[in-house]
Amino acid sequence: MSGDLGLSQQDGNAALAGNKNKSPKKILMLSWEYPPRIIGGISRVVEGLSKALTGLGLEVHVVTNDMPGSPAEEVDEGVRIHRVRVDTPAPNFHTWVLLMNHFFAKRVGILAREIGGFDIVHVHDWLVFPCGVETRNFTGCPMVSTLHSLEYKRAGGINSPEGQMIESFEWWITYDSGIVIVCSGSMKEDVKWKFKVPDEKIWVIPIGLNKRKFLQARPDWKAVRSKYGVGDSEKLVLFVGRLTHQKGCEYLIRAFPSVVKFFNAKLVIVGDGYQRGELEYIALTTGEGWRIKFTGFLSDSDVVDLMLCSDLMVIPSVYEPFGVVALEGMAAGIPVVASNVDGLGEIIKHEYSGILVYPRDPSSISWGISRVLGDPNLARTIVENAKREVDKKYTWEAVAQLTLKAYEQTLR
Amino acid sequence: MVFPLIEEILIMLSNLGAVEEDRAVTKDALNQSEKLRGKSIDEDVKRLIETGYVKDHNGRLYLTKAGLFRALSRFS
Repeated sequence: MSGDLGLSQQDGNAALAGNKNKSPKKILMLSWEYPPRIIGGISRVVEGLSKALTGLGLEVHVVTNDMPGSPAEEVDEGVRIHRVRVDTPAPNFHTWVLLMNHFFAKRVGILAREIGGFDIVHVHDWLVFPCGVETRNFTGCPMVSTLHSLEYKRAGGINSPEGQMIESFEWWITYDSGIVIVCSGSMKEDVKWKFKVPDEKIWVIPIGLNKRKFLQARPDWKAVRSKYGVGDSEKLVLFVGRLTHQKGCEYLIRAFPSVVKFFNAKLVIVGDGYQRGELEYIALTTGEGWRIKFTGFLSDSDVVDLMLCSDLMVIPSVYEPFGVVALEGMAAGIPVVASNVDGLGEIIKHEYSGILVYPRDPSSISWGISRVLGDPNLARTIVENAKREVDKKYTWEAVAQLTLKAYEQTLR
Repeated sequence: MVFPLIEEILIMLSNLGAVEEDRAVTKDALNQSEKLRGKSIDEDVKRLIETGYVKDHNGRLYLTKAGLFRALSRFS
């Protein structure tokens, strides 16, 4: 009897028998984004983890969306990338997601036949869960999932049928996965509370950072700052992130007029999103709009250069399950001022490796920025401590080792 | 949450797979979608082209890379 993926029951049993080995060899990573398709944080996590697992000797296959200009099949630092096109138009986004999963499943089926199946399928978020559970059901390989965020927090509640569907998928992920990986302790508590998942089923594995790009860059400090309209004597305050309500950029913009009463500063906002028009309007209404520059999306290298040439970075998120941009700021050697929420409150130790401020509070954000700009000694100490923290705790090698343990536990 | 029309245009282009020249779609195809039906989208489309989110290839529209990322940013 053949399943939808074209595999026989015997193939499935053979794969299952193979999984009795405690250490996995072949990993299928499912993700709706992978570089150069970088919508949010999932892309970088899957890239970093896949490369690090390959470095541990595993064979990692990533099935992901196509990206114009990128090859359908590629090997990048040992990671085998299979980019899939969604060839059917959809009436709305959520239908498109389900179609995407169908096309992913087709590719997975072909791949499984070519290489004799997988030992683990690792699903990244609800977006690719249907393909993950199909792969598990038809090939017999166990499933591990990473929940990168929760819809009820991202969207400020479940307010639509689409939201209900996403939340239902999130619950289903926690039910059907051998292990659920989350990136922070606060996220673990959220998942436990929301979906009543046993504590031992949820593993907290932080996100890593590839520092190489910061170590290799050699930007011209003056030229980079000048490109964004920041003079030598002005302080460059940086925001990097999607322009959505979740990232809290409006509170930073509202905080800025208080900052510039005492410091000659400019705010550079890197990123794009549906809130951009609203944020540009808010910036104008502050009366300091001329000090606030919206750059839109920038290339990786431009973002790295900007980070290295900034005076501080602000992360005013309202909800942030982890906050890898905080690690990037810390690795770039600039002080980080961040909302004391979720993962950010776990990454940053207040007045040690950064400054924590109240979320949704422009006066607290302005205090945090002034704290750093007004005390260069504190800024230097924070930067040194932060760099040490990043080196000690947030390497992809350490993350991969923990993830491998999760795979081995699942196979037992 | 209600999104501005330009955001609905961007996401609809993504839903229709209009992410490169050979997959570009007409304005009529956009207008057939539930959220855009009966709405005048010419001005918003023009703005999206001017700001680099959308390209017009012989009267057919598709997303640039910036347009694709912006369209999908609300779901990540």
